[in-house]
Amino acid sequence: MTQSHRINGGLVSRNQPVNFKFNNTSYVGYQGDTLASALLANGVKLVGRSFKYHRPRGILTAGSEEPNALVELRSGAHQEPNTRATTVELFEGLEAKSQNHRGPLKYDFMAINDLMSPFLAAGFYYKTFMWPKAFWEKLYEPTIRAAAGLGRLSGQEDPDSYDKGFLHCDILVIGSGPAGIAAALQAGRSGAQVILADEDFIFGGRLNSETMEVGGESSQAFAANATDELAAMPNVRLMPRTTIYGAYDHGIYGAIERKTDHLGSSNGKPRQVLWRIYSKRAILAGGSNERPIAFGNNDRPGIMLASAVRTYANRFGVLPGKRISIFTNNDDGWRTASDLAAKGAQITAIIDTRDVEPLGAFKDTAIIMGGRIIDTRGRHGVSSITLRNGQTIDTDCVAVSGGWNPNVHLTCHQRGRPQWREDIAGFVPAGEMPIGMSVVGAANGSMTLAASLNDGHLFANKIAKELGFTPSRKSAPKAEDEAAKTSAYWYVKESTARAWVDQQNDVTVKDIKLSHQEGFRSVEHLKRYTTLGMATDQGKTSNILGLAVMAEVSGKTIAETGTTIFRPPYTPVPIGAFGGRVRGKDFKPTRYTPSHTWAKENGAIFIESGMWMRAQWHPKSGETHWRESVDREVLATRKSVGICDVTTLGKIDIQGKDAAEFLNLVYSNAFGKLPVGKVRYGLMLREDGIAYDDGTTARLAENHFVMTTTTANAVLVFRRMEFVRQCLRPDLDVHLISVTEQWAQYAIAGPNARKLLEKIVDKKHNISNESFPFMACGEISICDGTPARLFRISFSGELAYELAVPTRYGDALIRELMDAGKEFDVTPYGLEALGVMRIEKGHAAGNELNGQTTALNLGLGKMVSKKKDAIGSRLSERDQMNRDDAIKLVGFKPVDSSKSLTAGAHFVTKGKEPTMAHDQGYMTSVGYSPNLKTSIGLGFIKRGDQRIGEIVTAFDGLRGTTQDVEIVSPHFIDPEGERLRA
Amino acid sequence: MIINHPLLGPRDAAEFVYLGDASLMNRPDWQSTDAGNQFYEYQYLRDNPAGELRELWYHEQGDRSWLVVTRNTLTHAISKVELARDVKLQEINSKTKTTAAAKKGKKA
Amino acid sequence: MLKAVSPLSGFSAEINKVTISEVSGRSLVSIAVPNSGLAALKAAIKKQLNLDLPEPGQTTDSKSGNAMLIWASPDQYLFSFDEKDNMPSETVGKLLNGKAYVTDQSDAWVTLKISGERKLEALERICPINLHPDVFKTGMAARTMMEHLGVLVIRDENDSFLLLSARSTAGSLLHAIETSAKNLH
Repeated sequence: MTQSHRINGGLVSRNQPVNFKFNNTSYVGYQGDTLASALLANGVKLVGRSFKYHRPRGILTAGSEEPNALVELRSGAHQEPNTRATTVELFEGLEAKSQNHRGPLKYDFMAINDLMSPFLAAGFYYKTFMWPKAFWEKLYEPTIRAAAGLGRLSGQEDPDSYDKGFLHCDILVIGSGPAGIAAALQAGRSGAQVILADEDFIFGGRLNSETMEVGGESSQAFAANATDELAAMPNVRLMPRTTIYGAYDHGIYGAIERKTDHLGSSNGKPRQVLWRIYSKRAILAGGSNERPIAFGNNDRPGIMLASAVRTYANRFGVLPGKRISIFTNNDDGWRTASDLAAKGAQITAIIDTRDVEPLGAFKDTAIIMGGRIIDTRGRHGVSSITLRNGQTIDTDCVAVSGGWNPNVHLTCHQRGRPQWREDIAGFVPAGEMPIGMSVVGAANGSMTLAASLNDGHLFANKIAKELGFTPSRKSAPKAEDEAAKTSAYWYVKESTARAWVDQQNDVTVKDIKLSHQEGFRSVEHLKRYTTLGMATDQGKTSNILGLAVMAEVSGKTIAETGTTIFRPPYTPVPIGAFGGRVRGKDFKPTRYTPSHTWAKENGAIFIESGMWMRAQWHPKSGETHWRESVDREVLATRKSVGICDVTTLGKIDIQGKDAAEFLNLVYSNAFGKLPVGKVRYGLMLREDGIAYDDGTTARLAENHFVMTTTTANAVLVFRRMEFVRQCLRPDLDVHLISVTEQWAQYAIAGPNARKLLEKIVDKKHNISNESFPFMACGEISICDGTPARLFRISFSGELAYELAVPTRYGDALIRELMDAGKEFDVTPYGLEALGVMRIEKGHAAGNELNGQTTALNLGLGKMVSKKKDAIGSRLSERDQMNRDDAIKLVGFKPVDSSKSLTAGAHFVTKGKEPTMAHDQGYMTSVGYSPNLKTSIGLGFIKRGDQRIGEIVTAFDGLRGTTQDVEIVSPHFIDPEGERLRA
Repeated sequence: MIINHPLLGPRDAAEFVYLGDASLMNRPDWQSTDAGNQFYEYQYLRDNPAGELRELWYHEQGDRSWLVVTRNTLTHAISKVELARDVKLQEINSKTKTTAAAKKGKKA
Repeated sequence: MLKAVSPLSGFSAEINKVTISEVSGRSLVSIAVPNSGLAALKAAIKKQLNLDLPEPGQTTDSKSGNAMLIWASPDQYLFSFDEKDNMPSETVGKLLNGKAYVTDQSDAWVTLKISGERKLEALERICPINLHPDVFKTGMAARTMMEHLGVLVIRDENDSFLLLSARSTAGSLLHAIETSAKNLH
């Protein structure tokens, strides 16, 4: 294929041809082309089908505002739908396919929808598919989904990677058109840290699309030279291919940088990087977008925005048509004519809606002032236009200019409310701007080149000065102000054919009138009812036109009608980029215990417990079921000795003259009189009286305590203790630091625990029952001088200790304990066995401290001291929390011991229906006790402590089971605590 | 959002944990006659203004300071940031002074 | 004596002009200031350790003994020094003789040193703090969050970054930094 529409000039590299495929046909373009410019160069006009009516559609714009030219880019798992051909950089081997058609693009079978259009007008979903109700899910929705919608996902996992990052700057310049580049130059010259971001792959914005002069050189040369100057400044970070998609609080901007999208392959690097930019000040130089005029059948391929036609000619060296006509309501349309004529294009007609003097004369060109296009013809592309007077003009490209909309998108992301400006017939930024944002150039209504350059230059000076930098004395780049008069002309009333306002959503002038007629009077309602301005382009070309039509039919001014506002993102951002690198196992950090390496070597099965990886059980060879391993671990521990890594418990070092008083405040029970060298169990309440954490606290010295918390609440307890320390009692001398990570801690439990410890504890320490009784603690040394702490506490109910060493010794200690314990058949046990043993002993854990239970419920009512102030003690005294029929923690056993209990089951009195009214309580924890050879459980039931021996029904609605259970003491094993004290 | 930490300068709000109304610093006296009522109000009754609010933020991924942040809930504009401990200490000290002055007055 | 292991077994690697290496052989002790005891502590630290107390967000160091004090929070400092024995909090506690509350933190942290030409580019992928040399100068310290992990960053006098983070997640921190280096384009 030859590039039939390629002309000389432009910023493409003619010595670098690029091969690509569109709908499986091979074409050649040049380096520097977009997919859209390369397609136009090859004479391809028809690029897709419209959303609703499957109308043939072509390229409308030359930028990210494109509503029509959406393609599926790449193939296989890399396929990306709804990609704008106007922003896709051409690369060798690029493959793209058009979207939204069945069968070939030229003969879309769904084009039948177009004939059905009388039935598919605004709101047709709401009107048509209401009845019968059952048809919605079964018939309507699947059919609509299959018929409508744009591109298709590959259905495979995204093979690309993404990343995120943080950038900081004094001044962020958004957009690199005349205003942006002038601002960046001055900001950079002042020495400030500057980021210049532009969604395009070259800097300069419209400067690259024009043939104007800046400072004596062509606008394209000026853009290139300014880019070189900026690139040479170490304080300026140039970010091409970067879209600032959102303006957030306090100068934070979201940016998406396309790192490898312009390459055939990303080579294993992140395809895109999502940046959070922290700026002291931001200069928004977003420019403006041209808008179309609506007229009959104005959606045929070949009908484009005039500025886009100019861009293709000047920047890409492509003439989108051989016989071009121009339809304009403003001076700028004439510049398109003169630029194109200079490139040798045949201008067949200039139709200006205004009754003014022509702005120029062209050879063989029909000039019609006060003219209107009422209709067009051409099946897959425009071939002629029909004027109001019936005159028909042959043309293969209509360049339409309906004026320019300042690009106010980012100014609305917080509380901005754009305001109508009559003189430029456009909305300009108003209301509260995002903190630190200034808007310059066309985005702020400075619609000419000279004004934009000047605007950017002066604002940068002002802002640099405000930030304490000295602006350079260089003057603003010089340019002439071009003719820029415009008029408010929106759509051709004389057209009887459908006139398209929003080509992406197939919204016509008639649809807007209909929606108004049906009572949708506010612009927000109009948008929702007609879908005007929705989807990937967010109405960048259609919104203003739509609300102008709305204003007219409702007899209001545009200013009175107002505008819809924008929210992030400015253009679509792939979900993958928001995820960044956080995928699969990288979703969250992983915490490893000190015994992890040893446990892994020995084949332990691990479970995630919060961020921790903990050994769940330690299978022995030959064991085929997890219960076999867990039962063995429990029995061996109770028979001789077992070891469990309990490092994950939170540990907080508490020191200070007022440490004891502080503990009295955070624990419901008293700690003031705890002797040095002793440990006490403590209960923490929320201020509302609900129990939230428990643990033990050891007094190592008069002013030195070490607290343990549950694994799950370690962070929360620390935070709340800091709250008490800083916000309630900063007068107390108390200091906290986490030592969770500092100490590797092992529980050593079972009748032989002391014998095992005596083998490794240095001889100078006496740990006999007399010298080191239950609830004793001390700082000792083990294995010839390794510092350690020993606590005689028990979660299992056995004679037990917790031994802590600095974490660096944790790995060596588990190996040493296993070695020294051989003669006692020492058994490592995991989280499951730990759970079974604590249920057997009746110790509450997270299942019982579940955010709904009080100390009274837990059977710990006596632990709420009335003699002192403590968090939660006052509100736990409330009547409703102290009812006679309060639920109490008790044990449960199945009447049929061959059956298993289920956690979550609710209790009802035997013979009663399992209803809410009869609910007596619920089961919290269950396990199989290999000692009692039955399933056992802990749970709460009304007046439980007075109902020991009663048989009740456990109803498990989730699993659909009902069984009789006996209420028993929660202490299944050693209720008198003799083992603990042995 | 950015919180301008009084000691460390501007930090991303992501480093902080939000708690809520700074009235939580005014925990009632457990021995006062209507302590039950006071604790009920302390725990459950909060203003929710569309405008300036003094709030508690904890710099968990930072220096572990609790801060009192005066923030406009409508615009997110932050007008004041203080160390909670300073605010509380000032209150405790002024109370002590008042009590001391009252005692002194009695004596005189 | 039990055998000690460091969190990352002495890891060191260079990826894309970013050098990542574990720092070990250091002791770390937290020093909390008793209420109204700042002046006394300041004097004791000057006398015993020949160090000034750092301002918020700063560190102070002494060339002799290779010791560094890091500001941690309004009433707390971290004291980092070459390891002499396995009872560092006792040693420091004796020196300060009741002027401070000390706690051993040597085993609570992993320390990674990040150096090399592209270190800033790698760190900007995970670090929300501005580490530009004009802003985050030599000797400055900041606690922040990287990939959900609490990290204390210090710019040392060799223009390298020291990253201190929880020991149990040492692997995740290393993975985060390695990924940042590998992801550089």
